[in-house]
Amino acid sequence: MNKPLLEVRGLSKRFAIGSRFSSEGRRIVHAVDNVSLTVEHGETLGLVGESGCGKSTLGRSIVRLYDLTGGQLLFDGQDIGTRSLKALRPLRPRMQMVFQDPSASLNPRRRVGDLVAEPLRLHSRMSRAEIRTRVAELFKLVGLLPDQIERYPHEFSGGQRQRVGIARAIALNPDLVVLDEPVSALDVSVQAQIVNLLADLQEKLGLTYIFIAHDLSVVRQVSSRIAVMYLGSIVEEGPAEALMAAPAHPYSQALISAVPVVTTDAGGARRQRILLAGDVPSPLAPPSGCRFHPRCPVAQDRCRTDRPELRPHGPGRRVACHFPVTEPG
Amino acid sequence: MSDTTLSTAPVPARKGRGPWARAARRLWQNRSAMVALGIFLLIVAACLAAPLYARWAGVDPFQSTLDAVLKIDGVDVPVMEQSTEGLGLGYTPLGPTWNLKHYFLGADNQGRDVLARMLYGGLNSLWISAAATVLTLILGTAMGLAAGFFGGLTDTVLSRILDVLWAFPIYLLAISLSIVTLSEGLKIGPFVIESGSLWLPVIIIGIVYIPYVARPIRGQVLALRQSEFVLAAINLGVPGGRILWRDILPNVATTLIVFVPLMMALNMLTESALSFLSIGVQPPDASWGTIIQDGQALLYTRPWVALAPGLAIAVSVMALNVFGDGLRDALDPRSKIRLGRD
Repeated sequence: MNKPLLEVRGLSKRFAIGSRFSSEGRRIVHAVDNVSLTVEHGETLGLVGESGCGKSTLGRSIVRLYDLTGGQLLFDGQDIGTRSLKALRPLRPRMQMVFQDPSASLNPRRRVGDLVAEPLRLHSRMSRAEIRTRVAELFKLVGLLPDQIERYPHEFSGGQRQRVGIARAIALNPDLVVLDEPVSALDVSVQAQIVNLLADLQEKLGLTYIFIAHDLSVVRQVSSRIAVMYLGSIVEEGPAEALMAAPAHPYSQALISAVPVVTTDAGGARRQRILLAGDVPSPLAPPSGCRFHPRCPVAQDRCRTDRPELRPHGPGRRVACHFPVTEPG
Repeated sequence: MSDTTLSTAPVPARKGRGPWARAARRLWQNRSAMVALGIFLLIVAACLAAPLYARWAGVDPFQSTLDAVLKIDGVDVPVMEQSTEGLGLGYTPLGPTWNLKHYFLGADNQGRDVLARMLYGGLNSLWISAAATVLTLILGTAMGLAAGFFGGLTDTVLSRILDVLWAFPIYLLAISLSIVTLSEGLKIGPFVIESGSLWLPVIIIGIVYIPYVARPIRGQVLALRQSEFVLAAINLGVPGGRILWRDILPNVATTLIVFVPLMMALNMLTESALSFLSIGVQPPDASWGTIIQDGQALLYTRPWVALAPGLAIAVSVMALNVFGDGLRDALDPRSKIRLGRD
């Protein structure tokens, strides 16, 4: 058995907000709380959850844009959780990230060709001419025209800008690409194009993806495995098909029931939509016990005091719930 | 849809029009800004021509000529005439002749040509405000960048230094520093600036305005550090110095450019105030501020001596401000860059 490309063990990330001298004092946000995951070579792990659940923080922590508060991060067997930014540099070509808002992730004062060439200049020994050819090649690969190289980001549409962001991320043939809501800032028609592009690239280049999104219908399309996050923790994880068909955690169930379905028989097999009461609790003061209990339709006394661990639940699946809504299948 | 279509015809690669080129275009189309720039450049040109004018009119603006006699339309006119008003005591300098060839704006208390002095003084005023602006921008930017980018202890130390500067009212600080350095000059290690040097007001004005630049720059850098394109650069493994230079500095550059004319206007006012109080430019050198002070005593009889440099300051400052506003609009129409304490 091959060792996994990425192994996350008990990763935590806390942010301190406010000043020690303010009336409320210094407060701690538990953005990511004790998350463990593995990502195998060539797969796509979909990471879903409501906004504010810590999925972007987890993604950014994985590529070490943040210092970790706790836990281990193993990339291809090497511990990268505690490395300094400088010591991480040699590994950067192998793990890349595509950001949510392509108009914010491209420096408005630099030409797009220059932006895509940046990783090549930093990490390869290519000559200027070789870099130019490679950039043109990358442009073609992501569906841009080579004669757009000399333009500035503002001269592109949102979809095209995201293509530039993708070109920059794949320039060095990375192993892992963390896609942080790569399509949620785009029009629906363009979303499909970008999702298809990402699928093509994965096939051509053998990429491994962590696909972060709040839109389950997009995630289900691209992912081989899905992890559902709630308030900084993973509540359920499993193969995409199985999880979507029979979610075991009440929260995943509610999330999946919110995905609109297209049916042919009018008024026929409509799914029961589960509406959750209340809002996501503040990560400043997470609820006791199971973090989902205040909103959970099946919560019992035990959930208020005991925090459920992520436990195996059927083949390849794990769920963090005392009373899963389905039997392990 | 154009997203995916690949054109078959060979299109010549078009160079994109960058943010700078677009800003220049917007500035060019802003009529009031261009008029203001024109007025300011005219004033600069006139002041630069001061030595030429002095030679052409045959005057020495630094030499007292109390007993000179001028021939105007065949009539002998003394530059300093016996006062006929009141008790008839003292002398009144020649009033404006409105003739560029001699004493266009009249003479001052020492019989010197006011126009020639104004041009020379303007040169000093402009030079001091420009040099102080450069000094403020260099020091302010360096402090702002370092504080915002490195954070932590660097930020704490630099921010406290700025707070100390900020805590003084600008003029009070400038006046105190000027008075301290007035008689002794300034000695910092091997660097000695003699009292009376024009560098003294440059350094004093340059220092007191540092927080005006450093604070907004620090704020912008803090915001830029969290921006996705800087995170993207970190993710690519770009070294810190390069991020600062290639990603952050170009994005604060617009703010710095907008600051140039606005700072110059502020500095010009400060320089004039210090010179008016006799603690800025020292005689025999002139500046618009010192000429106003010369004219103060003659305000009732020869108001033009004070009025002319006052007008020159007002027009220059207004032109710089209007141009600065235009520059800001051109560089970033959405920005709320402001200079001052708010």
